[in-house]
Amino acid sequence: MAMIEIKHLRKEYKDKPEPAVKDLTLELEQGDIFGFIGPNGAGKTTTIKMLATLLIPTAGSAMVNGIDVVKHPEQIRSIVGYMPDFFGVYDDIKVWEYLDFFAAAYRIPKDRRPQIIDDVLALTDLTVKKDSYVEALSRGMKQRLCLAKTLVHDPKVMLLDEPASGLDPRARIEIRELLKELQAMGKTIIVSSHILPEMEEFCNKVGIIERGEMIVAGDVNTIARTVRGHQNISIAVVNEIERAEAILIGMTDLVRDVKLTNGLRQLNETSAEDLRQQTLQRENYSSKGSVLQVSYIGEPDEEYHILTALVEAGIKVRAFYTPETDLEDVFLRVTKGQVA
Amino acid sequence: MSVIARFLPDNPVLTKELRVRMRGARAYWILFGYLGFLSVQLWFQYYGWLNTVHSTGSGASEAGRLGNEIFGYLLVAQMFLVLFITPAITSGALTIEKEQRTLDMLTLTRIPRHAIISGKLLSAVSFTALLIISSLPLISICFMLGSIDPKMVVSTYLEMLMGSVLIGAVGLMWSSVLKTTTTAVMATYGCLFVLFVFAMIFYASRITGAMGGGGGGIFGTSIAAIFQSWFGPTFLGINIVEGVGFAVFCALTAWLLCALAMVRLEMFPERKALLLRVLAAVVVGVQILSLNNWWVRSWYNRGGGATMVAAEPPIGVLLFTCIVLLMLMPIFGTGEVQPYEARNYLGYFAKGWTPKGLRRGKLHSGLPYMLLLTLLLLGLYALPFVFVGKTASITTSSIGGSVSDTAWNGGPTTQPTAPPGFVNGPNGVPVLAAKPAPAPKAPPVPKVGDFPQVAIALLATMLGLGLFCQFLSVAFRSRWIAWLIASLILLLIFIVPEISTYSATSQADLGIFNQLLCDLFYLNPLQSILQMIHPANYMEHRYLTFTDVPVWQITTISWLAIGALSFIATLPFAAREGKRQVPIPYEEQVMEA
Repeated sequence: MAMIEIKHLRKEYKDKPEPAVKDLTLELEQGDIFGFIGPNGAGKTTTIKMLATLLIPTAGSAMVNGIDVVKHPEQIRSIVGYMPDFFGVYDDIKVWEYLDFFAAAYRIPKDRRPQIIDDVLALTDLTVKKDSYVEALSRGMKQRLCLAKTLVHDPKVMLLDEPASGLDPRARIEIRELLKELQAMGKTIIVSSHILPEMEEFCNKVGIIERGEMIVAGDVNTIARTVRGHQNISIAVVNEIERAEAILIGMTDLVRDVKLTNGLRQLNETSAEDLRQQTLQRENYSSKGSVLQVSYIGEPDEEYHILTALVEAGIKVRAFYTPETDLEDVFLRVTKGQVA
Repeated sequence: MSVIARFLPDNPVLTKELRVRMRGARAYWILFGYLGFLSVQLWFQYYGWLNTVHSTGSGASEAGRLGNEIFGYLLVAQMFLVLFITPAITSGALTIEKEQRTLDMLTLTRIPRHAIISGKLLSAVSFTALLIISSLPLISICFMLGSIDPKMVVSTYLEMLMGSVLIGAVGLMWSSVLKTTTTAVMATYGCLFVLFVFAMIFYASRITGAMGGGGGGIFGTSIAAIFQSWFGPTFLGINIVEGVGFAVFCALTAWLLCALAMVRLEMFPERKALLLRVLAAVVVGVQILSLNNWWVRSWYNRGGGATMVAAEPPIGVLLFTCIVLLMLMPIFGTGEVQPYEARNYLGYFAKGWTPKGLRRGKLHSGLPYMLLLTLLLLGLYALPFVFVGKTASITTSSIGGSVSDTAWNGGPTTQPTAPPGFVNGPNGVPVLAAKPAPAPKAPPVPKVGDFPQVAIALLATMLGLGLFCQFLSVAFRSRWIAWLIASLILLLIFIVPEISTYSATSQADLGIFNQLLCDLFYLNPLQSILQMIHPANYMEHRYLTFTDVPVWQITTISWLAIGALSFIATLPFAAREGKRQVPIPYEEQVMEA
């Protein structure tokens, strides 16, 4: 049974002519991390709020763990953790009191609460802040506290609306690490964002939504393939780059296009680690040759034909790899830049 | 805290609010300011008295008066402070959460809605309780001076606390309904102001009542009577500590307001309509019963030492029932009809009369609910007669016909008259006489009607008005516009004929137009009752078209006609609404399944 089952979901707002969400269908299994991508105003938040029982769908149905969100909102609330895109915290309240408040609100017995609070604080790396006042926390910490709050009742499904928006790079990476940990715990997570690179790192499925419609949804690589109609392969060679290029162009049934690049991977220059790698690559490639960017149009899992051809021709291949999918590219291709 | 918390139900909102409220210096500054203000006031009073004693040399007999004075002034000051502080806390209680965007997160937990509301209210009231309890040492000075009864202190403190519960609930209700703290605070203090004006009217009417012997008019007496039923030593005929009646009223009304606030936090507020409707019926019912009881008692007890005497026969109390029902009708009788409901309007209309329909707060069940409430309130008219031991003639306005029209216009100076077969016992309550009294003389004025006639006229009015409200709702497609128009029309029905009548000197002066305006009296069910109270001189100042026909008959026929016309006029509008291509909402499909 699917953990989340959305069928032809539709939401209209009274004062707007266009529906915010129209005919949205989605199915997620337990343990899926679903990246919900779309421009601002595309309907991400509306969809998440409907799943969280904050909004009532106009038509269609949404089930979480086999429970209808409209029919039994109370049951849904105990298995779903929702983190809104904008949230406030109470003044004059300490971190542990804040968590205790929500734990009590989720009807967790009094004697079990201290342990749970310690656990979620450890998970979100806020143990040292246990007795601090909430309003004194940094934005990233508040975000993590909000995540901790969503975890107190151990939800099976987590709905995270823009968890990393407005955070500095370090705080973003911390949130990312946290999400990976949650993934390891077997939670089903829907996370919306418009910062794409961080999505492809931990999402096993993505969906792109625009003007209330799900344009594509599914496995990240499959989507990239479908959208582009080809797959990128990078081949780094030591010598005879022109000959290698000629051979590749000759394989018209497998290769559509070959481009010569300087071999730098597209990395987001956000973290120190990324920057270090980038410098390393620049040193490696710029001195010792270049990389060929191949648009592969053959069957999947038969890329080795290309490698075989190159090696048989005596070309020294340094590296042969499929670069990580560039979600931004996919996103730009499928969306038209319109919002509902 | 933890000791108290062990005995309280686990309410996270209450825990959090109490924690936060006393955190930091703010709460202590408020406490300091509150006690400081009262101390300064006390100090001035005391030294003023001391100076007087020094200069005039008056003895200890004056100390009691001072004690009373200090108690009175401290009480008034505290009452004002409490009534201003509590709503300041509660009117922002939910709007701040809305503005801070914490309310969504709170409502998504498994916390029951009533726990949110009760937590917010209790935390605010407990702070007020802290303030007034901390002022007890100041009040204790009055004990030293004498003349203050501890029972009086307890009852006034109880009244003050319950007053803060009521005002706090008003704030909470607005906080739940409105979106911003500013508007909620404004609305709450607006309500406070209206209550204040209402209280002033009460005092004014009480003073004129005391001076002019039943003066202040029938409405002055009514308003005074309601307050009397709150403050008086009896509530529903039971002798109780002073202030308990007021406390019960506050508790019931606060409960209703809190329920309103609670329902607004629900995803489908109209599904919780039954709770609100039952609570509204209980609150209105208890008040009306209390008023009826007081009125009937005073009537049998008139002239017999009661401070305020009902100058009108018991049927007059139905005037108040009428006003309440007329005010409630536009609130409950209006609503909005959805296109999928309008497609089969007759079926939708019929569904409102089923128990399932009554449970939901939709347009179709407003009228049936109001008719049930009318029947309930009419039924409550009978109960006070049971309390005063006169079950035989519930429907007789003038007791056994022994009191003439002029007799009860005489007001409190009239000698008490026991009904036939009864004599006045202690407290003026009629008790069965040992020997039947001689048969009384028949009243000189022919009777126009009594309870059954009032009941018919009132039910017809409610039916007609309810159908008219439904018409307005469907025609204007907005609940608020319908509510506004219905209320305005009711107001006009009350005011316009009075103005037209006053501007004329005789019926011959009236033009056709003015005659029509005067005849608007017929749409006012209160006029039927007034005619029954004053059958002899009712027509004197009202230039009605049909002088020979009892007013209640024309009222009944007019409202039935208006109701029928409204219902017929609703159908084309409903058909228009039904043509809109809007699918049946998902939640309705789920409900049906």
